[in-house]
Amino acid sequence: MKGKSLRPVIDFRCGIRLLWLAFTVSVVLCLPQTGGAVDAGTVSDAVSREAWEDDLLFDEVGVVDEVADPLESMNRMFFIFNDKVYFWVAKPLATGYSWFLPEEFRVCLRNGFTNLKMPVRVVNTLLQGKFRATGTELARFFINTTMGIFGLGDPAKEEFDLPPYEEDFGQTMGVYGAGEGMYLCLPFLGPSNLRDVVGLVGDYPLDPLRYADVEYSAKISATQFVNNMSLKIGDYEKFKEAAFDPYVAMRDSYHQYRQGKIAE
Amino acid sequence: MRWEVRIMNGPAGPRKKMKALAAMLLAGVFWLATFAPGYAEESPTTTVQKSVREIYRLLADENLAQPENWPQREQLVLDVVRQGFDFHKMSRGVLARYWRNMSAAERDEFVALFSEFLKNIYIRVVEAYSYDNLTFVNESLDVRGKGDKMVEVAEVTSLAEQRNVTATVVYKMAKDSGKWMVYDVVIENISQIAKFRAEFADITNRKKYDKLVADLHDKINQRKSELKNNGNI
Repeated sequence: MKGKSLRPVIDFRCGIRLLWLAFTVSVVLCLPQTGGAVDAGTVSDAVSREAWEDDLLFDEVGVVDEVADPLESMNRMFFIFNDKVYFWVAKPLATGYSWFLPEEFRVCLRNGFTNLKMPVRVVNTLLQGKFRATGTELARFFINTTMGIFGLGDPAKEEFDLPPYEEDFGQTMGVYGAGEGMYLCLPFLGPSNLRDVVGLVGDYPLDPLRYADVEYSAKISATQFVNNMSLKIGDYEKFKEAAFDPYVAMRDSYHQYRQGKIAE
Repeated sequence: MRWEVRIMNGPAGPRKKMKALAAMLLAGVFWLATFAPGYAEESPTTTVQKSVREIYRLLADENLAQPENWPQREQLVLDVVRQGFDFHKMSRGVLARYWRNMSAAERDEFVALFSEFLKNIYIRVVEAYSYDNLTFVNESLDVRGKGDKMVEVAEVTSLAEQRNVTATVVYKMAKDSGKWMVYDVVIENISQIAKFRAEFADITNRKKYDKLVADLHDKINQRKSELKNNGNI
């Protein structure tokens, strides 16, 4: 009887003790984090934490010095040249062009130009051993050329969830270990590097426009340039707005962008 | 120690077992609710989504879209961004070595200016894409470092669609005091922190740092004057 009458009390006390234990443990665990008084030790701990935390978080950000730019003076000159070409020629042209053609039409034209360059992507995905991507590109070309009416639409992406693979010979060389060589800012073409310039030459025979009549090819290329530019008006301005040294920002952005593409 | 003895002493009835279990459960709930908010924390994706959704809501708010309310809207966006973005870490990341030479006051000043500047840039990015064209597609968790020197990190990947072009935006996050905070945004493989770090790499002395602060003031004032001119306020 004695035991029976005691047990509910024991259970109640058990709960109280557990609560007290939880409270004590929690307070002990929380004390070092909340840290009542700030002393010299806490400040130096915080500084030390910042140091090792930065090493852990920003280690992959130490890519700045990797961009070799021995021709910086010349590159900066061409950067300014391209800046003027954009604001004085390309942007007014593209803006005027966009007044006459609705955005949807311009997007269709861009799709068509992208579709035409299928051989560049197919050959480079093959060379990189990305056979699945090769299959996707071939399927995209077939679907977009037929259902998408000569590639003006992109049903492969919208209906079949087959996004494009942007591969070129510069990336292919990068995949096989070729370095960038040096950074180059090319007149009219913009940021590049030695490897990607060689890549442009490598892709040249794969561009169907190369086999067209010179005059016709030039007209198509100019239309492509203005059309695609019309869909990007404002991007460069935003880029400059977000930069303190637009030349360095462009150089580093290009480097990161290409490294990312090669790593994909 | 009586409760221990009772357990050791052998079988208790189902009713008593239930009571003991309820007491332990109560203690557990109390502990979790009071001292371990981390257990109920948001996932990295939820944190970013909430922040982005709220910014879109603020930018779409018709009342706040009135020119006279633009300064208020900017402040509200900044408050939201501060909840999810760790501008202190970002500032450390972009200034790298020079950060260690700065006084506490200089650091505070830089963090405040850089936050304002990044908020303006972020608004520009957000304005370019509609919320319906954003999808969050992946979240990966990792732990860097060992022992005491360890930090939990996450990457939240989202896709932004515009004019049939898809841009990949990765939010790099670190857990700080139980809360996930963004410390870098990678747009199409371009880490914004790395980009700024490259631009600030030549900031090695006071004179160059002062020039950077002046540039930051200029960019922030430029945005303010644009808002003023557009809204005639």
